[in-house]
Amino acid sequence: MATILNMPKWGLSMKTGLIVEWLKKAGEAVQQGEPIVEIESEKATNEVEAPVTGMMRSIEIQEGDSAPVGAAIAVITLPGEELSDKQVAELLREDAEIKRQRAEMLTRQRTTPKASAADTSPRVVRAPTSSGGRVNASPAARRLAQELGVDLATVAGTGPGGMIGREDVQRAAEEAEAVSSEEAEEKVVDVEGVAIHCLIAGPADAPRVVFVHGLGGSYETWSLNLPGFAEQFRICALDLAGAGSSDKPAMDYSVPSLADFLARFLDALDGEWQRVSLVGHSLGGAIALAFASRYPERVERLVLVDSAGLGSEIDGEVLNLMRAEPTTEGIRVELTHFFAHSGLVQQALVEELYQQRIQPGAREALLATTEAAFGGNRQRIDLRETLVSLPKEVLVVWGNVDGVIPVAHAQEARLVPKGKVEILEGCGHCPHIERADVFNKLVMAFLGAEASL
Amino acid sequence: MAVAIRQMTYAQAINDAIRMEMRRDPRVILMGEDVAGGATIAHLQDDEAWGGVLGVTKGLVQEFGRNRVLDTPITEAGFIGAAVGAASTGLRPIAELMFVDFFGVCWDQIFDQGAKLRYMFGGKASCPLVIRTMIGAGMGAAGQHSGCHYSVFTHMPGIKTVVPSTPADAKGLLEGAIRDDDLVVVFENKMLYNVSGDVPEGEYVIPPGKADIKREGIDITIVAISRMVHQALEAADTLQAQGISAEIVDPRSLSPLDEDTILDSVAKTHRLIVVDEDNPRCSVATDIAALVADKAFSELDAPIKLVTAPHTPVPFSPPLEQFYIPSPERIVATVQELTG
Repeated sequence: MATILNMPKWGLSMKTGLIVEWLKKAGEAVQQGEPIVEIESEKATNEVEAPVTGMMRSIEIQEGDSAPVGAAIAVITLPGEELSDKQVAELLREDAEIKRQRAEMLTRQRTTPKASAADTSPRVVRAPTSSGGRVNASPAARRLAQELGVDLATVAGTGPGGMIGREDVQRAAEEAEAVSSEEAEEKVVDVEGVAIHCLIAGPADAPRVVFVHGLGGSYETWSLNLPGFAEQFRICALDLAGAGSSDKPAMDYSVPSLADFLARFLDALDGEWQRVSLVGHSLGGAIALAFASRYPERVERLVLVDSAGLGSEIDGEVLNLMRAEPTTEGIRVELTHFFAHSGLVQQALVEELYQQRIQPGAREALLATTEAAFGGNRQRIDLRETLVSLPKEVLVVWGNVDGVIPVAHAQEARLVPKGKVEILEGCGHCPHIERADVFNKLVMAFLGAEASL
Repeated sequence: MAVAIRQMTYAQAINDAIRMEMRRDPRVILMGEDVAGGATIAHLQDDEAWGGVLGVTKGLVQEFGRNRVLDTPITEAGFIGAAVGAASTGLRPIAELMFVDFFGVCWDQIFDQGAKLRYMFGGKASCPLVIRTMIGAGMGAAGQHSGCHYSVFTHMPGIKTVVPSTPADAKGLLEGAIRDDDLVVVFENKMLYNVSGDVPEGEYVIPPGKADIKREGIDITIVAISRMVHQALEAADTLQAQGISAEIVDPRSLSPLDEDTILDSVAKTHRLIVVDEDNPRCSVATDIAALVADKAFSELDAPIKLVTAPHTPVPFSPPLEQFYIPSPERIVATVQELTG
C-alpha cells in the first residue's frame, strides 16, 4: 500500500507550508528516516523524513508552491509496488475524500439548519469534487477561503449540488479556531505578583510535561514540538520570569532561584501540576535539573536538551551578542550560532525576538540572568553531581555540532544510572527545532514509555 | 414640506402624471389611437368615449382640448414618425403605441430616427419624445398583443426605457420621462392598471436611471422587472416563512441601468435571481446576469439563476398563458435551489 505524505503541522498557528526543495525526485528510491523534502513554515525551515522505505512515486506540490497543512504533497510506493498514474490519482482522490469526510463530521456537528418547517436536517451533499478533481466551491467561498486560510478540500459543501459556499467556509474556519483553542490555551498566571505567560494544551487527563526554554528565548522555541506533544500529553510551556512576554521584575535570576520560581508557578496553575516531567533546553535544562534536585518528589522524568550545567565551557561570542543593545541584525547573527544550518534563521523569528528583547526591563533581566549563570563567559553552576546522583530517568539530547555548549557535555549523562543519551546528527544548539520530527518522536517515546523503576 | 398622498390605481397615476405635465408645460401633447377616443365630439357622450383602449387617458381631452390630445389614424409608422418630428422641432409629445407588439411597423421611426437624432446631428438636435406602450401577458390577448419586448428597445443606444411596477413609480417615471430631453419609452404592464397604491399628489418626478429596493433582505437578491416585482414580493413572503430573507430590487429603469444598486445588493446577499417576463435570449435578464458575473464574480455564492418566460410567443390558451408567466412558485423553487 502506497503512503501519502502530507504537509506537516509544526506550529499551532501553522496553516500552510512552502516546499523549498524536494531532496528526492519522483522515481528515486528513499530510505525510511532519510530527509526527502525541505519545507518552510512561518517561523522555520525544516526537513521532513521519509516515513517508509520505497520509491518517490509522485510529487503533488512543486518547489516554490505552498500547500495547506494536511494536504497531500507526495506519494511513496513500497519497494516493488507498481501504481499506474490512474491508480495514483484514485488514491489521492480517496485520501481527499477521507479528509473531507472527517472535516464534514466536525462541521456537521455545528451546522444549524435554517428554520424550515419541511426540512430540519442540513443538506450536506457528498462529493463536492467535480469529476476533474476540482473542488466545487462558489467564487465567494473561494475568496473567503483564501482570506481565512481555509483548505477547501477539507470543507463540506451545503450549497446547491453540494457546492461549498461562504457559510461552509466560515463554519470550517470557526471550527478550526474552536479546535485549536480547545487544544491550546494561552494564559497569564500570577505568581506572587509576577505575571507569567504560558501555553497549556493537550488532554486534561494526560501525563504532565513542562517545557523550559533557554537564555534569551521564550516558549516559542518549542513551537515545532508542542502540537505533537499536546496530542499525548497535557503540556505547559512557559516564558520564564524576565523573558518572553512574562513580567521582568528586578529579582534574583540565578538558576536555583528560577527553579524555585518554577515550583511556585506550577503551584499557581489550575489543575494538577504537582508531578510533572520536565523538558529543558540550555539554561532551561539547568533550571529543570535544579528543580529535580530540590523537588525530587515532583518530577517524573527529565529531558535535557543541549543543557547548561554539565560543564564549564560556553560560547562567549553568543553571550556577548546577547548582552549587546538589541538590534535585529545582532539577533540574526546571534541566532546563526544556534543552528548547524544558518539558513534556518527566518526573519519572522528575528523580528519576534527583537520585539521581546526591547520590552521594558527585558535587557536588564537578560543581563542579570546571563551574569548569574554565565558571568565571565563560563558556566557558573555545575550540576554534574546532581545529575549523576538523580534517581530519575533522564534523557539527554544534544546536537552533534552544537557551537554554544559543546556536545562533549552530553557524556556526563552516560554516568547516570537511568540515563540515556541521544546525539542528533546535523544539529547545532537547537535539535528540537533543527530536527523537530526526530526530536519529537524520541522524546515522546521516552516520556510515554512504561516506567522501568 | 409634507407631500399629500392619495390612493390611486396604476392607470389613474399615469393619467395624473400626464395631467400634471400638460398643465406645467404647454409643449406637452398627447397623441395616439383613441387617446381621446371620441370625447368632446358633440353627438357622443364623453362617458362613452374611449380615452385610450383601456381608458387610461380618459378626461384629458376635456381639460386640454383636441389641439393637445390627438386621436390618430391606425398608422403607427405615420404618427410615431410625426411625434419624432414634433419632438425634434420644439414640442414634447407623448405618443401612445397601443401594444408594444406593434413596434415592428414603426421601428424605423423609433430606433433609426428618434433614437439617433442627437447622435446624427452632433448633439445639435434632440428628441424629447415619450412613447407609452402596453406590455404583458395575462389578459388572454394572444401572441400579438401580450409581449414585453423591452429588451429589444433596451438593446438600442439612444433610447431610454422605464418599466414602472407600482402606481407611484408609474407617475414618477412618466413625469421623469416627459421632462427628459431624449426618447424615453415607458412600458406599462396592462395587468397592473387596476393595482392601487399610495401616490404623491401634485408633480412627482423620478428621472430614469434609479433603481428601487422594494423589499430589504439578506439571503438572496431578486431583481424583478415590472409586474414581476409583485410575483417576487409574493414569493418573498413564502420564503420569509421558511427563514429565507429575500431582497427585491426593482431596476425601474432598464436604460440607463442602475448597476450600483444591483451590485451593492449582491455584495450583501451573495446570490442573484433575475425574474423577467420578457423572452429569455439576449434579454435584460441575461444582461443583468452578465453584469454581475463580470463585476461581482467573487461575491457570488451560488450560480446566477434566471426565471423568465420561455423562448416562445405568448400562448392564447389560458393554462399555457399562466404557465408562460413566471410565477411566485417558480421563484420560490429557484431560491430554494440556491439556498440549499
